[in-house]
Amino acid sequence: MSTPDQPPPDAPLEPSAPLDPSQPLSASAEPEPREPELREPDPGPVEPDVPLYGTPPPVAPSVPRGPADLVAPPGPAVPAPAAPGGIPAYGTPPPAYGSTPGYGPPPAYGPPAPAAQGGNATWSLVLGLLSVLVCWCGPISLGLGAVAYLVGRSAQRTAGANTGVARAGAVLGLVGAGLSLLWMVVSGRVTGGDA
Amino acid sequence: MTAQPLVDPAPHHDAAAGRRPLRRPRAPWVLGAGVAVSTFVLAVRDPHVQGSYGVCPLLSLTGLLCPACGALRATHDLAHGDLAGAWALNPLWVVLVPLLVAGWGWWAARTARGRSTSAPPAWVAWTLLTAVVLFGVLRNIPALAPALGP
Repeated sequence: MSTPDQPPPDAPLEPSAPLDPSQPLSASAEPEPREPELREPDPGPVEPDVPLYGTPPPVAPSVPRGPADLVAPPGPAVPAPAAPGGIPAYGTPPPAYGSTPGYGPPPAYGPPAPAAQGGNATWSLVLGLLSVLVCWCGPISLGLGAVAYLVGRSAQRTAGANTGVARAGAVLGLVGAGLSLLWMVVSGRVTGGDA
Repeated sequence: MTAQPLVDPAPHHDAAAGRRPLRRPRAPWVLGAGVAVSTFVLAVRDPHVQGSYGVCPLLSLTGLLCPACGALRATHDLAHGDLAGAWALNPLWVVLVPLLVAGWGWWAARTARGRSTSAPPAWVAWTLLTAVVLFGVLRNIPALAPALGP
């Protein structure tokens, strides 16, 4: 937190200092005076943004140095546009995280995640269908059903979406495994009698 | 002030992701061990022997071949290096086995490195289901039975 102020930002901050006197203590906290200055010098604004927006990520501490400026721009570039509406910018990211488990925003933030989870649920369903389809062949169906059940259960826990599909896959896996066990027991008795 | 709300979600995210790595590293090896033991049993106890693993109710009652028919015998043959024999019993299974082994290897390698893995895309699952069902239908057509059936 304190470190960002000390490094290179000194140069941009000093010009801002004259602006600060116009505003009392609150001026230091307010981003408004900084923003215009920060934008004009692209590299400069990066650091102030980084402490505010990027402190959580581990990259921020190592990046702030001069050489890192070249690397840093991409990261700050994103927060920079958000900076004008500093408050809204910060407000938006939390909803993205918080809503991920919930409802709406996930599509915007989590295209990859939903796809993977949906894939797991789909795989559970397909494996469950296969285990029922080949339930005559005990050992194979038993394995398929067990995997379908486990995948379905894990998909149920992790995925917000496709829970129904995952549940169906888990149930089908259980059904397939149960049928295969039933056939194995029955056929075992039959063959036992035959043999 | 503003930084704190951002800090909080990150730990949650890490914690949520951190749970899986504790569980998942074992998964490939548990599954691999189970498959290896099953394959060993199939290799030792010959499924070609009538009734050695029970009787298929579908085949004995209806005469129909399910998509997995011959898979145990094919696995036995593959374990003994008899590719032609395995192919004659269940060609679909012979095609799938190397894919499954390769996929498992990829999964195990990535998990061992601590990298996240995700299931193959959904279309692969639907393609697999379609192929299995189609195979099950085709191998019950008398003209194709010799090529696709055990």
